[in-house]
Amino acid sequence: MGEQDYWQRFWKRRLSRRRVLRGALWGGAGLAAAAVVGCSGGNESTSGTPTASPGASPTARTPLASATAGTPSPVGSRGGTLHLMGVEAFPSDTLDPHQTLFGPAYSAHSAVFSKVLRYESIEDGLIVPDLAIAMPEMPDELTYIVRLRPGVRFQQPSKALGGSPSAEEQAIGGRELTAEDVKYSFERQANENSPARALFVRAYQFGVIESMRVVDPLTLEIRTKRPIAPFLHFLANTNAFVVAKEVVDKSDQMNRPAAMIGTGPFIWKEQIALQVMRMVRNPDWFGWDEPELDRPYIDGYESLFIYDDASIEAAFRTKKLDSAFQVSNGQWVIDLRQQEPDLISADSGFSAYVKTNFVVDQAPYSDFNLRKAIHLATDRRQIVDTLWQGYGRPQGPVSWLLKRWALPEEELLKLPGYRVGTQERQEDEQEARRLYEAAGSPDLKITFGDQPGYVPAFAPQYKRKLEEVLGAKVEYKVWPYATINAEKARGTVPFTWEYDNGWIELDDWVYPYFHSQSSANVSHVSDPQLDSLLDAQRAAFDFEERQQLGYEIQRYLLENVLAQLDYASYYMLWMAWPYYKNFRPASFFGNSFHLANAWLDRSNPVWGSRA
Amino acid sequence: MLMGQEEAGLGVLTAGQELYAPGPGWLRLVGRFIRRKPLGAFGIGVVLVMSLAAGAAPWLSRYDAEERFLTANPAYAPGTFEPEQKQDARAGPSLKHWFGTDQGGRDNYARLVWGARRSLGVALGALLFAILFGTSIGIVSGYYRGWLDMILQRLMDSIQAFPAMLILLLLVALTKSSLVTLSMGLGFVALASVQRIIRSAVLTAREEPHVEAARAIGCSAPRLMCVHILPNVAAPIIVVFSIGLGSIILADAALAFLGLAPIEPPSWGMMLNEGRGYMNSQPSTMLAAGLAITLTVLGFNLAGDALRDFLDPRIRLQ
Amino acid sequence: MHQYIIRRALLNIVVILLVITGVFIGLRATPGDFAVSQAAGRVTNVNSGEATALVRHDLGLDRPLLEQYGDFVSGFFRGDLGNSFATKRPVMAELKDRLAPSVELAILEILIAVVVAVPVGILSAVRQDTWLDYILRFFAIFWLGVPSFFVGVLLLYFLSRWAHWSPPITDYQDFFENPWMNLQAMVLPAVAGGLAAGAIIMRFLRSQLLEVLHQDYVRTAWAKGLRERTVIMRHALKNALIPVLTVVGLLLATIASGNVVLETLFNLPGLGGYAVNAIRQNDYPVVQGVVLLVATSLVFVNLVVDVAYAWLDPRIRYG
Repeated sequence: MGEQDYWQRFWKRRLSRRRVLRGALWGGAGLAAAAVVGCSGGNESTSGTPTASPGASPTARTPLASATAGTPSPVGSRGGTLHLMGVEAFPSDTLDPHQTLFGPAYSAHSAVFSKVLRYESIEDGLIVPDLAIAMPEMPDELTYIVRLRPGVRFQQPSKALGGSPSAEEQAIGGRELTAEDVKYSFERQANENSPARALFVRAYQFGVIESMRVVDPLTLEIRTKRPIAPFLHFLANTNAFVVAKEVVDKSDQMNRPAAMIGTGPFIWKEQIALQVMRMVRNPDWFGWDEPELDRPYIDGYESLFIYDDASIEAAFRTKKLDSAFQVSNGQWVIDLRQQEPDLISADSGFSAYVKTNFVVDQAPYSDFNLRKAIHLATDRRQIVDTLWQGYGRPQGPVSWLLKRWALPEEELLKLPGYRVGTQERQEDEQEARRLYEAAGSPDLKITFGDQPGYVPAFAPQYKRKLEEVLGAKVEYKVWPYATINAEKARGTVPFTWEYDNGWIELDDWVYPYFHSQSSANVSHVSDPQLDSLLDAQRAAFDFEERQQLGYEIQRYLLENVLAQLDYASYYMLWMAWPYYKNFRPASFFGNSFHLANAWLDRSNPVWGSRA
Repeated sequence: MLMGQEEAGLGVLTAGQELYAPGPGWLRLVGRFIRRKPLGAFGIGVVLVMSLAAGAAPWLSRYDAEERFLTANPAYAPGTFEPEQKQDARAGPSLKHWFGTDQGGRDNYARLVWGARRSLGVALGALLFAILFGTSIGIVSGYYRGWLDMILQRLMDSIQAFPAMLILLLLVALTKSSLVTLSMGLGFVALASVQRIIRSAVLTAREEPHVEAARAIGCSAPRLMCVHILPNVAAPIIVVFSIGLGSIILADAALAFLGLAPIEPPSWGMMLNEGRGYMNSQPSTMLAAGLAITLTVLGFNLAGDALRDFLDPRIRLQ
Repeated sequence: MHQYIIRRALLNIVVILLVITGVFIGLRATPGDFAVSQAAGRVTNVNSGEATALVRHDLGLDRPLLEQYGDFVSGFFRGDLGNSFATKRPVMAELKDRLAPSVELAILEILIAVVVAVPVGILSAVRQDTWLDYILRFFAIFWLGVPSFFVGVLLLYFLSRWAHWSPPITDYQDFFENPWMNLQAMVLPAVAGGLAAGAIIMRFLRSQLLEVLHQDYVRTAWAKGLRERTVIMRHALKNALIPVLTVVGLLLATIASGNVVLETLFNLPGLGGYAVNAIRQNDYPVVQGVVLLVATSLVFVNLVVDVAYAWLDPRIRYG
């Protein structure tokens, strides 16, 4: 520990204060020490995996990081601060982990808080225990027995950051997490009597819990109202964090930086709006396993808010960022990968997409023919080419990222609207025109979202496309996201075109939006057959059965409902410098606990010029 | 006086002479102008070209601004997501696309031409607004001094103290971002600066002996302002026009660069911002847009310079 | 003169109040507010009306307008500008954090502008219509036309490609903490913005100097046989500089708004980008605070410029 601080201080001093003699002396001594220490070899660097061309599916990926380090690593490999890019520093809606819908907030929270279960791999749907010591036992379809691991303690930020403990830290810092905390965290989100009850975004998921019983301080028994097949997913979902009730204020919100005290691998240091989000290693985290093994780790990470390709490229090239991906234009990544063959490269999908939402009980969009006409007229290939230069795939009602649930692409590409062959495209466009005229050729008014920038930039082209194919008169306006969402609830924006977060499980993709009883069904879909399919998939514990039901739902949506038109989603071209060990591309927000495995290999030959 | 004109080398229309005898005399004057003030001639040339582009856009632009061009797809594989033809995006300059294409497969030259129409339209509207009101306020304020001056200047200060971005953003939010409101907004923001320059020139011109003389004779205030002071501040007005047009075009480009301006018709600033994203692989979009802005502003400034020199009698007669 | 200054200062306060009232009204007149973006979020919910109302109550946005206005103005006199809706931190603190980079950038830009413009302007005026004049004027006009963000982008691109150097975009250091790193971050935007400002100053100085050089008293100075440098420095320059001061004064306003783009481009943690984002997010206290700050500095700078103007030009006296 003393040596870690020494290294940090050494590097800082060398850069910022040019005290001539003393600096040179320490510099010389430090360099000598580094040479001695860093010479013992480190782990094998992961070689670059074959990169995907725009045509191929993004299966290439670096090998999954294992949860434990394996071989002991040299002492000099501990420490350092990882510099990543991300949007966590955007002050969006709220800091409360149960009330936020902002994707990057999930990432920040997943570093600071823990969940009972967590996702090890989103694409494969692999859930592993986090606070739990094993997967919950299920004596019957309605009961789950969760056993927690002992010795999980809430963080004490003042020990790692200095300064005096805040009131919140005095209340919970250092105390052990028990089943009571878990029970509280779940109850809170579905509490009808709470003054903030409208703000809990997963209320409908935690509302399936009938009762919870604390058997002993480390065991919780949960009973659900009905058999719920995705319940374990609910426990590992984006807002399923366990918090302590002491930090929640009177209005049932914990929207304060001081309340960000959890049990995760990192401690919330600071969030400077639009600049940087800083996290510091939590030395008391339960997941470091055996500290005597000298497991490599980082002292913390910084998530830097740079969101234009030119700046990202400049920062990455000069090693001010340890990993990067493209924001809207991937050409620089391709070029850079060719120029620097030592880079770790990986392509991964991301669960975010562009879509259109209709409000199906408002004219003229209540006419299924009109919706289908627009569905057929949209050229998904044009979207992928213009928005992401070809680095994207067409998307059905469930993202292709979820390999277990998404309709297979071969099938999707044969469906009208998704076919890209010249002949087929012509057929689709002619059919679109026919349907449009059958619907009475109404004027179309589209509301485009305003973020990311490429969404409104696409508007003139989309307008032109619809005008050409349908012969329609099209108008559009650009509105901020939040306004669109608020207006959606009031039904004043019946035709939107936007970019949105996706989700990580079948149920999240289809149930909230299309079930007639769901409070998030802003398209006002009401289809009893669809409802029964949705309820059935929720109750199907057998994976094969559920998967088939999922396919049926997707096919049904595409053939008979079309309240939401799914267009495409992109994949990110990741790169990391080879000294960043155990790098993992993220396929959705909320996986920052994986950074606990990362470490910086100073002995790597590329390290040299990194500050 | 007549001899001075010949020496100055710039043809000034005198009653009788050039008015009734155009032709070789006229051409010679133009030639003399070009030789004497090459920069100014270049500037006026650019102004004419840009105005032509703006005015005759439908005929000069070759293609539509949103037309998407396709090219053969080398990764074509039937039955997959790879179609036979894909967007001809980010192509370099060629005979078909004089300045290449952009991210959406659209022709850059066509977008530049339509952008000229948009930029010039917005800038002219804004400037006329600003000069009309700015000059009136500046002259009245500078001439009368005293309380009127104080109040007007405070009002102008309060306008100027508004960060320009805020006014424009609020306007954009309130009025659903149309070009007309953008133009008015830019003019409003420029108003305060214009009137300040005019006013400082009026403050000096006011103390000129001929103005004092006119006042002594008993010239009425409006007549004094229009006949005696206004011509003397004409030169700053011209300078303001040329600098102002340039800076309004720049401000419009900056707004579009930040993504705050209407998306259609295409704006040079927006093209610059988009082109910046792929500048390393295909700089032609960014360079074309940037050079268009630069050249236009350059041209207007040079033309304005030459005009100002032309109009200022003292410099002419040096 | 003192009376004038005091009167102006008092009037300035009136102006500032006018401005912030304008902002207050303007913000609340635009559709949408922060409660909507916090509550409505990305996936909408039929409960969002209730959620929005709840948040609006927390933020104090459902109080009557006059009460909100009163709070704001009295807060202004107390030095408390409220808390940012988004980050919940006091606006004063947030502004203080972000003030330094913007101010520094503006100062550096004006410095570069003046250092470049004054000698070039003098040279160009004195050697009017020679080739040197043409070249200098062409460059001045060129810099006037090139958008500062274009220059900035080109500089970034070429430097990173050829010199393998890029400014430290990711870790901004304050000038007093680490001057070397700070200047590295500032040099490109300062140059990009300063050259454009310099061009404006140079042209104006040149035209003013030309006018002055044709005045009778200058002709007398020539006739007396004084050296060129004396004529220019001691007789002509002072009079030519006066209107230039005005230009510098109003350049500050241009710089204040032009810096938004440069700050975004070079990722400087200044007021510009922060304010634009706050406007987009409808974060009222922040927008009001920024406008207040900018308005106050601008009107007082204008006052200083006017006073300097009067001090320099004895013909102009304020009653």
